[in-house]
Amino acid sequence: MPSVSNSLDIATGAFFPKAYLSICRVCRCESTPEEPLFYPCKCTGSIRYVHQDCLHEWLQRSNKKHCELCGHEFTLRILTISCLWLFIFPTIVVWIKKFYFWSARSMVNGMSGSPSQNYMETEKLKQQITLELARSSGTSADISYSLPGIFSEKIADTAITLSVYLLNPLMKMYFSQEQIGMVKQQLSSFFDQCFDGIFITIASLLASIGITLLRDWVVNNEVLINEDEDEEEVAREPIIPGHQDVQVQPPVFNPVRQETERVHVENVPPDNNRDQKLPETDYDENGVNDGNDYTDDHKGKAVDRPDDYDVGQPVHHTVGTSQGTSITTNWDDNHLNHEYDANDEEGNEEDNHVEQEQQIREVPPDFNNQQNQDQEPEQVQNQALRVMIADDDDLPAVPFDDNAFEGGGAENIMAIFGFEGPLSVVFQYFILAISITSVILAGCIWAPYIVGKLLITYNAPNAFGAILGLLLYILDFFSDVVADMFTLLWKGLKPISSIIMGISQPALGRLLSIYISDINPNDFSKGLYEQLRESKHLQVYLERLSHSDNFSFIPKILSFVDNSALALNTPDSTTKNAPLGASGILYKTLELIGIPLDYISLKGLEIKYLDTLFSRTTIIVFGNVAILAVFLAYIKLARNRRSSFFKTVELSLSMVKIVVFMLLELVVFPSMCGALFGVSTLPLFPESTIRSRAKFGFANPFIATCLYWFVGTIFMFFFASFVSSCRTILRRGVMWFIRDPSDPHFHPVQDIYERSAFSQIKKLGISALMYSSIITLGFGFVFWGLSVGYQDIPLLKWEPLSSLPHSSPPPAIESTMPKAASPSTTMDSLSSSLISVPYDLIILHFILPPVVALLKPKDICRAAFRAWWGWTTSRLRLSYYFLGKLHLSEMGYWQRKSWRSWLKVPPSDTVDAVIDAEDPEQAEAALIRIPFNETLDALQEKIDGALADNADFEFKLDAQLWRVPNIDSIPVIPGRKMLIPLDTYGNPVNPAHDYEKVDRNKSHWGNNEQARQNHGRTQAQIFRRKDYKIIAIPPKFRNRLIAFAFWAWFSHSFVLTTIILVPMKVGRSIYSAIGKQWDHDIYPMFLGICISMLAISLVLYLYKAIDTIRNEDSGWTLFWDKAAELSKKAAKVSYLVLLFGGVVPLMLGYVLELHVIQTYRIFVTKSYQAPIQNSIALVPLIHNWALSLVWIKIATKLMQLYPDSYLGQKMQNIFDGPAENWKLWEATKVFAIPVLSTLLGLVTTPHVFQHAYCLFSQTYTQSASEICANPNMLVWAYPLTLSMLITCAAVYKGHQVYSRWALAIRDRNYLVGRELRNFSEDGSGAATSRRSSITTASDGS
Amino acid sequence: MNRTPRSLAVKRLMKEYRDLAKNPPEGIKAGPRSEDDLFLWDASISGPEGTPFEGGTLKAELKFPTDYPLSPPTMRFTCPMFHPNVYKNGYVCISILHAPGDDPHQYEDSSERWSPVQSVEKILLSVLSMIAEPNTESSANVDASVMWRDNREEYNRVTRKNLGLS
Repeated sequence: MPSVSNSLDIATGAFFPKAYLSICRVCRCESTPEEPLFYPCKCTGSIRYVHQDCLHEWLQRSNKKHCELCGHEFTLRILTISCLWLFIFPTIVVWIKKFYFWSARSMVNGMSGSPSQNYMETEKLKQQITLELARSSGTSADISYSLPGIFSEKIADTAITLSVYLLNPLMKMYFSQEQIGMVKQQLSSFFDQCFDGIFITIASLLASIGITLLRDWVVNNEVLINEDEDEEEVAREPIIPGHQDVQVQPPVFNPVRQETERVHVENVPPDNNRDQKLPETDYDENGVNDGNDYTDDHKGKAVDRPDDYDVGQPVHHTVGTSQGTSITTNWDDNHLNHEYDANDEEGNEEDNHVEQEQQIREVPPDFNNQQNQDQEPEQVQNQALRVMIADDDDLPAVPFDDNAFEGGGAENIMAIFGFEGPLSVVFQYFILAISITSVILAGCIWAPYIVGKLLITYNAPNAFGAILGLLLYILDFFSDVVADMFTLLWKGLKPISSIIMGISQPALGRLLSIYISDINPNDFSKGLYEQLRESKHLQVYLERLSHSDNFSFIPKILSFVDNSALALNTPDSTTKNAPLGASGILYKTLELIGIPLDYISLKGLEIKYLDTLFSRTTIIVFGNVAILAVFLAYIKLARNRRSSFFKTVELSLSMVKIVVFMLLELVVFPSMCGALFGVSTLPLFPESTIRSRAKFGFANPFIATCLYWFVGTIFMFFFASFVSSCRTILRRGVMWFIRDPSDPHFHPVQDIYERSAFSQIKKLGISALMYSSIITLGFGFVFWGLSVGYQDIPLLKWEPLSSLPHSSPPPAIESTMPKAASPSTTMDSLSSSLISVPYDLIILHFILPPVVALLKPKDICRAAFRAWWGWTTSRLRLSYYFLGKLHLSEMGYWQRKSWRSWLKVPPSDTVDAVIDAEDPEQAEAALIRIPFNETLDALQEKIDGALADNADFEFKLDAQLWRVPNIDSIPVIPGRKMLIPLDTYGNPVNPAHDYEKVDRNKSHWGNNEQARQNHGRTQAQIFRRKDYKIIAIPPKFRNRLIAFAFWAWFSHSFVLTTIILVPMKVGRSIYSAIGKQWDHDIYPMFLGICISMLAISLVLYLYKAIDTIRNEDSGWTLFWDKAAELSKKAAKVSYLVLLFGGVVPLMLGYVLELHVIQTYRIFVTKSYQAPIQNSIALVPLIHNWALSLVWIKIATKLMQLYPDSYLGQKMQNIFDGPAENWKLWEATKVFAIPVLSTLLGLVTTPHVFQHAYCLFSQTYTQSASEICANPNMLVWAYPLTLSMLITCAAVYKGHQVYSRWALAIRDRNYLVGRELRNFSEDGSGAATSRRSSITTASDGS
Repeated sequence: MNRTPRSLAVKRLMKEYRDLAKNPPEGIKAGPRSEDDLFLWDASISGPEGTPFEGGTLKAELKFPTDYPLSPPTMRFTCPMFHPNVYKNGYVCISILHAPGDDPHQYEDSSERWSPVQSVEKILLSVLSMIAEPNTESSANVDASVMWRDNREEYNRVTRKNLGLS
């Protein structure tokens, strides 16, 4: 608010120098800064001026839009403002963008030599490339690149078409057809520009806001770093003032440190080298090492901060923290606030707040001085840094951004966009916004574009390509040697191999045929190797390659391939037997799995020569990467690490790091997962191979990436929920190796910020390995195995199964991705309906939900999952480790004393009962006691006593102590083991694993390098006893874990196979029993799922029922009672089902058919005659019935969504409680009868109309009887009636809405959020002259 | 910025009172009855010359609504008044005192009616002119209206008698 008022003050002060004359005509007050006066109407004199609020109130009261004295309508400014922001601004932005690109291009051209000389050549080349691109990719590729542009065009076109339609008569009167076309074109391009500009503006604004927030976060990050829940750990590190001195004097060499360093190196075991140290030594480090950088500096201070320091408040800290470190942060805050002040015009409240804080703050005097002095240079540097940031390209000082986020709120935003405040301010903001946008564009587009373009023009990638080519050349040589040897070996082994091939051929051939579409499985006897060689793709490629020019860098790499492949292609028999070079094989493999290298090289040419969106984007990205690389090199090599430029660069680099890794984790990683998942599930899709997938991906990169990302994200989401459901079952600490996202101390962004890029990549790689192994083993293996075992497995198939993929050659582009498919053939097969009765609809909407509600498959699954865990872990004797359930019988093994014992079950309960404790904790306490061997001996004695009279079994305890994690969020320190075997006294068997001791010894001095790498997170990562737990585990723990993993994988695969196979088999057998051919495998599968679920539920229900009947004495009477109750319920429900599931939908369907579908047929598909005559007689009732059922369902859901509405209340009232209480008559009365009568009316009214028309016309004309005899008459009657009804309803509703709206406008919204505009009849000059006559004016209007 | 109708009314009434006290129009005096309640004013109008009211002082009270000046005040003569535009209970019927929303007779032009532009001073001036020139088209007191039109002598007499001027 204050910002607006200030500026307004200036404005109004200029307008009204004589304040006493200008008073508001409503409240008789003068103009104040908050409430300026306006002269919105023709009235002059003492009643000329008015406050906006006063006028607003009066207009609201009087229901007027005009002045009651002069009758002038108050002027609004909304139009100009929206014009300004929606059209003018974007246009300017677009032109700025165009200018940037133009200037960048001309600059690059100027630098790269005279463009005029080879202008013609380049032009020719450009044309060639364009042609080539169009030929190789079709149009679809371009669409995916310039999606926003297409979108804007569409919108502009729509808008234009609409307005043209509206104004068509007028335009036709004044313009010729061509003129209209031209206007249309111009307008559409203008709209296109506007849309483009808006897009750019919004993107750049969002980017700047995001960057500002991120920068704030990074700058404030040291506050968050000290996040540590362990009090005792931190409390023992007081702040030593001496260390501050060390910090201030960088060049002082610390001999003590060197000494300790040496000691440290001697003492520490090698595998603990990567351990951390405690923070205070950071100061030594900072002081001595000139290599300390900005972030470390901050980190050190942050760590040193007192621990009662409140971490959760990044801006306003606890007042009066007595240590000097609080000053550090407050200084930072001051900077921040001052920065905002500098940007904002107004004095912010925060400023005052901070000042108060400074006054209140109690600082010990002796500390204060020194501290302040110490902080002085730091402060200056910070300031310099921030100034740098503010001036930096990608970090614009956007006043209103800060303002909007820091406390201005909606009113300020309104003011920015000119809905409040005078026009001059709007223009100020306008100019500001334009300059900001241009600065952002310059930083993010212009500079990188120049750099990227320059690099590409100077063939920088070609250098890279040359290196790669050299490598390939060397590789070729060695691979030739290896391949020669392999050939020799192959000849020797040929007899054996032919036998093996004969056995495994069919399966392998099938597998490969799925994999590679080019290979004909029937011709497999030739061998894969020969087939690969005869692949026609290579020839095509070579042809292409020989024509391609030398500019492309990828062909340059592949020219080496060219040589080797050409050698291969010569008809000479000796060379024919010679193997391909490694690069040739590489090329072939790439080509065979569908990566079109020539297309990629074409794209490379496009980047270089054409000016498309794709090339621009690529160049900009390339340029950005290059700039970043330069920055990175600067960071590594820079001498003067204290310079503000260095810090700015470092800050921006760390931001880039955060952004890049977030992108990697959120976009690239899921996409990769999705792609892998797609490959794993390939056998489920007929006619799809890796090759076809890759082709699709290259043809439509955007859509493919989106699809894969979507699939991958869904997979990851489900995997995460699976993991969290595991967590609920498992003991805490078992899942330590997967990060728990619900862990309150887990801060992903901070994690990215703190970790070095290398460890980040390592972490990503590890998780990628984990995910990929899960996907390939868990899904890929199963599906591929299934596809080998069952040839008819493909599920999502759009043709009858009779034509197997073997017999018909698969089309080049697969049909499962409809967008990629050639539209003429596959789209038809997709849009044509597969079934005549929409039972999928009915099942999905009306059978599946109640079945699911009845069965609760989720509960069943969960129970089964639990049961699986219980069974598996008890078999492996690991339920204490996994589930935390201690059974003594799992702590040892059974020895059988006699052969009879093999027929008996070991008496586990007797053993379990030895530890006589109800409470699991007590049981643990009884078992886990040190020394453990004595405890075991005592227990063994007891067990022997308990089993003394058992002749068959003997029980031997053989448990060992292990130290395992006790919490899921345990910090993982590289190089440390989590599961550590302990000796009988609870100490690690291997002394190197005694991390506690190591940490204790290292806590006073430490490994600086490590501390720096981990950015001071030492305290969180140190060994803590309470993170771990000592449990007893049977021997051969590792083998047991491996067995567990294998068993888990096996059961998962088994379940997956069952889920796919059983329903499909069941469904197919049902289908073939009926004697029908299924159109699509999903239907048998669906049917199978339903039937299996029903069968399961029936079995479960019967089991329960029998159980209750058997258990209770009066079981049978209860059964009959229940049966009677049920039948009553069933009668009610069946009545309702009949009414709302039968009669009403049938009727509704009939009405829909008559009114809507036929109208659609008449007007849209233009089939007037034949279908209509038939369809009246043969209404496809079932379809309509199913459709109406869904409509009714939607209506019911809507009523549930709005329970306060009349119908919603009624429905709640009627269907209250269980089915016995439902009020049938009410339901019939309230819902069924009105609906049915309306529908009946809709059916009969057109008839009546028609008859009336016939009667009427018969009296006048002779030929009318002919008209009436025509059945089309009736057909036309329905749409006519419907349109009449709709028109009437629309008119009525429209009138209602309009009057309500008009009232609302007058009552409330008349002036809300809008600005009064001062009245002027002929511009501002008149207003000025009028002002001078104020003094002479008297009362009246 | 917190604007309640009442605070607006108080501010405006204070202003008007100050203005009236500073340069009062001829023949008109008005002010709040007490400093505590600004919403009840007393006014006295000296009878205009050339009318039967000449020489007399007409006392009236003005009641302001809390949302003044968005709503008009009501004016009631506390002295006995026999006038075509004054009801028998003393309330003044004049278009300037009618809110724009409630128009009982539909014959007043909206520019004649109450608007925040009006003020106490203007109300009193209007009443002054009304006293001199009664508007018989919309009469509040039919007897007075008829008498004023048909029997001016009697009307004058009654008026003067009412005012105690004889």
